[in-house]
Amino acid sequence: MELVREGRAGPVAVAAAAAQLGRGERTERVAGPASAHGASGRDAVRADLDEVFRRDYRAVVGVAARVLGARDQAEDVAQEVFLSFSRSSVPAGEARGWLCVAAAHTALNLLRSGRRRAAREGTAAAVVDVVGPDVAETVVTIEERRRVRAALARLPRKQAVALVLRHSGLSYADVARRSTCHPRASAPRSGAPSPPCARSWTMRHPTEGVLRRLLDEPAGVADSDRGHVADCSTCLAGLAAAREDAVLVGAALSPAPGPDLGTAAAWHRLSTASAPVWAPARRPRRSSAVLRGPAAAALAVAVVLTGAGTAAASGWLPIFRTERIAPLRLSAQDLVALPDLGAYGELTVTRGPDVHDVPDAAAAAAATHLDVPDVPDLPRGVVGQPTYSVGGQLSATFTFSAERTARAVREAGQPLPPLPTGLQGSAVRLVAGPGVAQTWSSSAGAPALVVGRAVAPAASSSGLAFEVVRDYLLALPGLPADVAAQLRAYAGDGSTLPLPVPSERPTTSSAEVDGRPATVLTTRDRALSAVVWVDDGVVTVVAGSLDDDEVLAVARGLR
Amino acid sequence: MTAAGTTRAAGAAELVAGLAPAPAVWCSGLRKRYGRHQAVEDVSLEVGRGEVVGLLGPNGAGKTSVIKMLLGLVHADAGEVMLLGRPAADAASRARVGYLPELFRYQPWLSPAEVLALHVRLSGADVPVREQQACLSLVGLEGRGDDRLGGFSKGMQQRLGLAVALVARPELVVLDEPTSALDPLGRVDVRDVVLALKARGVAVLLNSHLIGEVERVCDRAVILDRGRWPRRAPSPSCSVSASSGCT
Repeated sequence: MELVREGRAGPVAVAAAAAQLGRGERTERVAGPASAHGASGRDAVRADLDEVFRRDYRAVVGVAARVLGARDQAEDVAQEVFLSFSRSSVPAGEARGWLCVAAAHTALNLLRSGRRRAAREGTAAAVVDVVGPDVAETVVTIEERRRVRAALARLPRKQAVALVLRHSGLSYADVARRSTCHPRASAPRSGAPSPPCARSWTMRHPTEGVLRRLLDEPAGVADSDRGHVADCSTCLAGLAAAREDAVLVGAALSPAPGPDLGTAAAWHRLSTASAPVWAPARRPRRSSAVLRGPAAAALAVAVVLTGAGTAAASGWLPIFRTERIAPLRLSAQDLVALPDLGAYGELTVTRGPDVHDVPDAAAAAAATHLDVPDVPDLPRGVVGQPTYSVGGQLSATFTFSAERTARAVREAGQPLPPLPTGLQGSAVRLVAGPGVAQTWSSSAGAPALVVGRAVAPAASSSGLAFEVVRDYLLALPGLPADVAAQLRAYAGDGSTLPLPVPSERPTTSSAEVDGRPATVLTTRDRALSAVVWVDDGVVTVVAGSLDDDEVLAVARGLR
Repeated sequence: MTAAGTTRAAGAAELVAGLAPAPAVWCSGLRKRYGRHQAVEDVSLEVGRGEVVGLLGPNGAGKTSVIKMLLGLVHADAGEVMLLGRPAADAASRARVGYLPELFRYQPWLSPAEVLALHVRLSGADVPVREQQACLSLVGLEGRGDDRLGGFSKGMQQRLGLAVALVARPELVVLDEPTSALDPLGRVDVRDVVLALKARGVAVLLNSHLIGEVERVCDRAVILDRGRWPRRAPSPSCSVSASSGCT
């Protein structure tokens, strides 16, 4: 463990660069001289790193593994987190909480970036034989895990972190404290009467938080609440639902099985890794000029290159063909409740996007046959040359199954709507891409601006008219009513691509880019913005840690 | 409700019915700051029904502040407290709690019998005089019930304080440094009282900085250090680890 602790500050351990993480590679370099890395006192490694590492490494890996579902990725995240910790001034007594929160955030970043999603799912598939002997049960388990993690990736960050930390063994108080919110936000104080309802509090139903606490922290639930729940059919039903949710989420967020953690080997890796080739995550600041986080890149790349925007709502959207884009507001409850299209048929991805880097714009144009947009004027704070990533065409086919639909509807306890003639076995084929993304990095090395362009998604039906399939699917039980209503409200010819937008996070507005209607998304703290529009079957996105005026200026200035 | 829903609800009802009784003391995330001094930071602990738990720590560790926050005598800056299955904000939660404060003082013109009668009346419990006298006997004040407290030593007053804590048939007894003014024989008496309470299923939270005192009577020890998270250790075998835990 020979990290530098004395005056020769500078050469510090580092994990693999973000890009290398994305490819599953690990690069370790020999530490260079202090001057080569701009050594300063700030970079000195703290003396208690060894002790904290050995004490908390397992916990940190556990948190990350709950998010990512893969032990090797979780270990990468742990390396990254401890590297950041080594440079921080966090008191040793608060290290564990700090590390857990940092691990949750870093893992969520990785999960949401989508860069390793395919690899993660492959890993999940690889553990089939260790999950359980029953293949059908195993498949269901893996599918549930996939859905929970997909929902986790879309949840508001604060809620996602709280969920992960809670399932990592932290108490509600810990979660609230680490998330800088009051415990009642996690699980309301049980039975504590507030002044306005003090007279009638025993008559009220306990909150959902109290029901959840009954499951995992019953000591904190008052006898009066226990008595009420025991005698109240409404509360018992709520408790049963909360228990089922807890079992599902707990199973889905359990760490992926794997060999025993080699703490000593991990410490060796951290202590012998090279100087940073990638800037560690920094605490975000509100100034948009300095906030050039990777989230913008992840958003744009996901939307444009992988077609994640079209697949986001559990596969419902690929049956639309795109001429326009409109925001589809989804609450966290909607995301959790959204049914999987697999319950109604077979969704087969026949061709993946195969995202990879290319050296320049010419190569990108040759690979995609698209006009690679040129950005003549970069926003303030964005400098240098972009990197280019391209993806090929994504193709998927959905084949409707009356049998699966009937089973899903029956399990939901709902009546099955009449099946349109010819729907059984009919297929809808989705094609999206190819696409290209240009990414500019900020001075800190993190992506600051992404300009992406791709052939917009289109769908074709093998049998029935598109409208018949769409209307029947929307009539099935399970889809949240507000989501179905929004989908029905779009153009009847299915030419509008709904862009799933978490209702708690970004605000959306309309604008025009080159005479075409565009949708502008801005996070509520105005740290990230994106504009997306469709022109002649090609969707273009400009996104970055910029404000909405800046992304619109870039969009309107594209050549 | 469908058959499936009925089954689920029945399962939930079984879950509720199978829950262990609410602990005698449950607190989470207690914090208290006096000016610049962080007296208590993030303390969570639990005392089960009939359990005897020792609260250990050096002087100034925040033990008394924790106890006063549990009992609502000091307002916590943050955290939740439940006593005997009720939120501490509910005054009824303290009706079945006996408390011996660290600093005690009784009106010198009263007699021990009058003090007990006063506290029985305040608690709302129906405790006959004979039982009150038995309580005085239990703490070694037999035959002194009608004497004026002005003539009592500090140790005798502390014995009376113990009787006050026990007289209203509490389900939870909180003893804050109960032997600070007692001679060695008095300490043995307190130990016997605590063991008797334990035998009756009364929960006891015993605050002391004397490890030996705690290890003899407690099921568990919770160690406070400068107001920080307590470390728990089983007792009595914890005596060595508890002492090292304090350092």
